Amino acid sequence: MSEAPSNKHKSPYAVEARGVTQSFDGKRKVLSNVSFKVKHGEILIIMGGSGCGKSTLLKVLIGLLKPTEGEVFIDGTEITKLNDRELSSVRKRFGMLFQYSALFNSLTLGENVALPILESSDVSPSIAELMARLKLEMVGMNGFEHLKPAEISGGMKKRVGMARGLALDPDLLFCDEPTSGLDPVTTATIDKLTLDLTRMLGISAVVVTHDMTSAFRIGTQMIYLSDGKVLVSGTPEEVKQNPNPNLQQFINGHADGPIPFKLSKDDWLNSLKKQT
Amino acid sequence: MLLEYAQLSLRAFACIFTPRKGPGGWMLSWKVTALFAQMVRIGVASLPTVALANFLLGVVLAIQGAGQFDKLGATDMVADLVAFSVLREIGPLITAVIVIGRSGSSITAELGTMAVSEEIDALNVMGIDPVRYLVVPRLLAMILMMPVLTVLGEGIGLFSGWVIGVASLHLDPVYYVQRSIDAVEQKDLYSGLLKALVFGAIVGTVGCFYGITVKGGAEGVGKATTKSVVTSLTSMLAMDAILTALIYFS
Amino acid sequence: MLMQISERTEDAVSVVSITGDIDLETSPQLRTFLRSKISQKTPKLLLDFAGVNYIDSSGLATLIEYFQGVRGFEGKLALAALSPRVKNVFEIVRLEQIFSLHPDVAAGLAALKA
Repeated sequence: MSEAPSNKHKSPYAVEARGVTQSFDGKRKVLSNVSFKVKHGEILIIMGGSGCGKSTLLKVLIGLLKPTEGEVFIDGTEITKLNDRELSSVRKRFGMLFQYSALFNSLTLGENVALPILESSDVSPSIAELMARLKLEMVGMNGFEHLKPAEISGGMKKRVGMARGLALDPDLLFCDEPTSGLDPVTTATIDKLTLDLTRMLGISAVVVTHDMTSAFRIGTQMIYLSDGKVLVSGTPEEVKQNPNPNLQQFINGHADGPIPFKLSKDDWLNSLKKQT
Repeated sequence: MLLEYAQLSLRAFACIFTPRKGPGGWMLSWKVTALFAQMVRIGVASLPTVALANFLLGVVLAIQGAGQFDKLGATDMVADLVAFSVLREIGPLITAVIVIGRSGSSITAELGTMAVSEEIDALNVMGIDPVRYLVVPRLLAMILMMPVLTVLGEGIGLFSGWVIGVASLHLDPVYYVQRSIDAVEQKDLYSGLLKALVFGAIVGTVGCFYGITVKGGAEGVGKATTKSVVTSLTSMLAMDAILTALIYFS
Repeated sequence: MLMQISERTEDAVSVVSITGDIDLETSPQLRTFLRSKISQKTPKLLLDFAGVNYIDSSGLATLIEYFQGVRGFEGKLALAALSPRVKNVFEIVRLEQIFSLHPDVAAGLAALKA
């Protein structure tokens, strides 16, 4: 592992969440008391079933949602109390890959990747274009820069989304389901890129996923969310060994187990009776 | 809701005039190329429809006026009627209606689609202010293009009235023009343009506000677009009444 | 930290030492310098990276632009004394295959003279 540029970091942790709680309209609690720490150069995997609060947690971490309670630190800076301008300067230091890529449909792929560069620095357009091509090369999309997002597949969009997230050479990368909908080879390529970025450049990543193969391949720390709470956290080995039946059902992908998916026989009967 | 709208509008207007530091000293915080693109989209693309609507209304005004003035034996009054109603009211109003239907709705639909596909979140995460990047060029293009379209529309409305007056009512072409000029004051032209400017600001802010606040997928975009058109139309008409009262009652 | 560029000539090779971080803020300065080298048609240029702790992709893009620029007059470019971290930045985008990278200035000079 290569040494991280420690002189550039203010805190030993790239991301830290302390007691993050989020409720909407004052009642529905989506996250309750979520805490974790991610050291520089680590990859944190956030996993959990649909509706467990993963996406909400990610939105809180990148400052799109203000948590009801709790604090979020990005390299030592508490972001939940920053104003828009201060937040945008913190945000320039991290990249984000959105679940559905969120590419700008009116721009070409090259312009999409160059946009954050041109908007936040004074480099000339020709340099920005070269930088965009370097990023597209990283994700294996070099040569496609003149196409529009509508002309490429979902998996390709995801890779371009990753390139755009990396445009400003962030020290921290957030990925929302980076490998969902990708074929196994592209998944492996994206995983290798994430690993290379952390090992070779010392950047950190927070990855929300329910692709277990990918999670255990790249993760150095994991948290398992259930019902908005951290049920299990630890290294991949610790998580694999953890006997929690809810977690084991999730990791192994069994249909039967403690995770409530269908109503029990009695509840099902009752709900049918109520209707009629 | 009204508070959020006011906040967005104020931020957008502040952003128009706030410079930022660039490589060669202070510069505008928004891109002139983006403004031109929106001016073409909003202004140039609306021109044919605006022209047609104003032409038809000029014709209708002249015919309706002729019917009434004929009873008084004063068909040459048609020139007066067309001139001041087009300049004061019909020109700015019908132009705004067309722009609302054509461009206001398309701004809401476009920004709304961006909001539901996380593109606006993406801008925020990249540290790019969506107000500066998306709202300002659209709002400014609206404010600049609405008076331009209105002047062109008014010209076409006056022309179509003249065509009816000369061709169908057999008025003297030069006399018709002279009557028109005598009938109006400069104030009538300026008040129409002031209205157009205000209408542009209303349509731009309302269209952008409903767009970037869309929630709830494709269905949400549709609903927001309807709301944007209805709100723009009603507030435009309300503002028209207020401005008319201020200008002509005092 | 600001970037500093100093230049000397060794055996008809321009040796340019760069000190500091090459990032979005400083790369325009490097670009201005390298563009002047293109207009002077410097035949052989060695960039000494011993004083560089960090290079970002704007720095890489600036170097690529120079690399493209010298093709017009068949100028040669070599880079020397890259720290492991800086070398990683080149490797992650496979630029080590395009640029000629050398462990130290002497090796770089030898390669340029060959």
